[in-house]
Amino acid sequence: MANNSVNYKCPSCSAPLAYTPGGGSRIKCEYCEAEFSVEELEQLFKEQEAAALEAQKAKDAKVEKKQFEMAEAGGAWGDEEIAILKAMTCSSCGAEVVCDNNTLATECVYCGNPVMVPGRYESQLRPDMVIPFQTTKQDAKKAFAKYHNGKWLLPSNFASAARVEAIQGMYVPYWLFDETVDADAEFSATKTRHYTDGDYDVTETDYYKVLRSGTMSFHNVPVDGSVKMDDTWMESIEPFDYSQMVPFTTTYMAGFLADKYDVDAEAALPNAEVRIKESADGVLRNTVNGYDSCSTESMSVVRTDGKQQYAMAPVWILTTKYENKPFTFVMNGQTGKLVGELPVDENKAKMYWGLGALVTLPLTYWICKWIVLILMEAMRD
Amino acid sequence: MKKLLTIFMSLLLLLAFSMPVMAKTETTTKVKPTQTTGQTNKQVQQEGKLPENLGAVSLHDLENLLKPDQQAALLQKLKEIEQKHNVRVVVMTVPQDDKTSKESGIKKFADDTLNKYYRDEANNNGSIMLMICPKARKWAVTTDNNMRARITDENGYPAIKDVFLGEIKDGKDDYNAAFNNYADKVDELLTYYETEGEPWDPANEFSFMGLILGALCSVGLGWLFVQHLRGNMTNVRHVAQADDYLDRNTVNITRESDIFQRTSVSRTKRERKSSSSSGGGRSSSNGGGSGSY
Repeated sequence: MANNSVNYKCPSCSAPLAYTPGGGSRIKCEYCEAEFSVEELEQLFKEQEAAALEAQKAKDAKVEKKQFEMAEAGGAWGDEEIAILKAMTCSSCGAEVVCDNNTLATECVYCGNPVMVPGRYESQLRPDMVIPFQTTKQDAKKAFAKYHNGKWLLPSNFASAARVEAIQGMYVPYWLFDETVDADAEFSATKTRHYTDGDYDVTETDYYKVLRSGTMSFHNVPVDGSVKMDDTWMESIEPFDYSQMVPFTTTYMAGFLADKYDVDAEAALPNAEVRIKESADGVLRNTVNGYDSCSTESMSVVRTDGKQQYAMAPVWILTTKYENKPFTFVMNGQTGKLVGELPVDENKAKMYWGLGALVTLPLTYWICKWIVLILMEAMRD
Repeated sequence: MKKLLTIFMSLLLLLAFSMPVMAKTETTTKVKPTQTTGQTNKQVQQEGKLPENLGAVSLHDLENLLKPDQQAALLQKLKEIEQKHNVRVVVMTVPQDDKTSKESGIKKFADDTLNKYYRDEANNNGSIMLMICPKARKWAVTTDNNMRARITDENGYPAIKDVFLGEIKDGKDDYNAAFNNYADKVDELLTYYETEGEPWDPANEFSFMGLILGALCSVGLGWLFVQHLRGNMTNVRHVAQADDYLDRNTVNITRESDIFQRTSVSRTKRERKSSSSSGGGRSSSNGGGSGSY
């Protein structure tokens, strides 16, 4: 059977190779412990990819022929389904692996070996940069255990009952925007003085129009380029350490899932610019000193220079199930920052509500009693 | 006819002249104070100054605000309280004059009267006097130092003031109820002191209103606490800024312009306690206070 997928096989023992998080630019075979540089494997991948593409073309032609046969049997793949789905053969075990059009890298569901999808960079941009994984699956498990530890409203049996269904390392497509901006802002500010004049308390307020302008540059403002990944979740695992970002090579994809972008740079840019504008406002506002209050009246930010990069960022996705409900957690594959929503035990919530009320009652009673006494005294006078 | 008319006119004139005399007689006979208080009252009215034996009795209704039976009952009550606590509890109503028509004047008059006729700190637990001038609608409460330790100016005095003023202000003028309330409150406060060993303080009392408001506040605080705990169950947060990606070295402020526009001035008159309300007129040797109603 011709292989129409690609994975990195050890040139020494033919075992599948996978990138080890934190392994730098070298990949080590888990079986024979032979080490290879990224460049060496890149060259190997190019050759494999060319062969796999040929095999894929042949397979696609075969699939088309099959459609007629399937139609006679009463079922056929629709054009839309064919456009979305991609079938290929695992180069390790020969099983058929199906994925969608955005998949760049996945793993074989039968043998678990990493599978790269060839030719996926032809129609869309090839990533410029990649931030390699620095954390392992074990780190993700530890971070998850640490995260739910000490949460008062967590169901008591969550730790034992919540089964980690899957932990998947995934490269998420990101757009990184560099922008230099001219920012102009108008603030309304006040200075207030209080003093007494005879029988009067006097409050004097001076009003000022404060104008500020400035230029500033932002580097690598990230916006995720995947529709599947929730923007808020991806923002929550920021920031990434860009000092570890390296030019893209598929070698780092080995052993992880990877999607290509389905939100292009033009669509992602407004998200970045909203954040840039907010920060520019903060920068200019910080220069308004010596006032008692300050509010922004108007703000304009004009981009004078800008460029974007297409990068792949590492993310661990943990899926757990508790009482038949799925709970997903996401961890920054570089820094180990884990985010997610834990289930709430409503009975515990009610108990802590009552307990909180009971504990604070002596204090609130004492305060309210004094307030009542003071009010009664005021009314009496 | 002319003779009849002359007789009729003479009768009318006689009637007109005799009216004030009849009216005066009626007033004199209408209020007849008890024997003891009546004698001192007459002496005060006739001599214009207080007699030496004034301190013998604790009730002097110089303005005849109480009926005889009310006077007798009140006097009995005051005596019982005095014996029970070894104190002097005095009620006095006085006519209007230069002193009693002013809040400070009636307080000083009450202080002087208490100090001269009732104060005996070496032998009793204290003295307290309620003096009222109904025509000027002024009142004063005075205490000596012994009584001040039992009925404090901060807490006990306002409580006493409330119970008697409630019966006479706003034209209610139920002096009998006012004096009895005063006596009952003094008894209550002295009993509290003897039982608890400290003067009555509303801060030590159970406050039902305080409990209701406190419970509501606690329920709110409990809810806020649970909301805080709920917030800890997720750390998924929208990030609105790009501060992490700002290159601070590139920030260049090109324009800084502060333009003064206007000044607004607001003046609020400072609140002062109204002189028509109760309080004021206190001296260092006497407690209590005075006011109008």
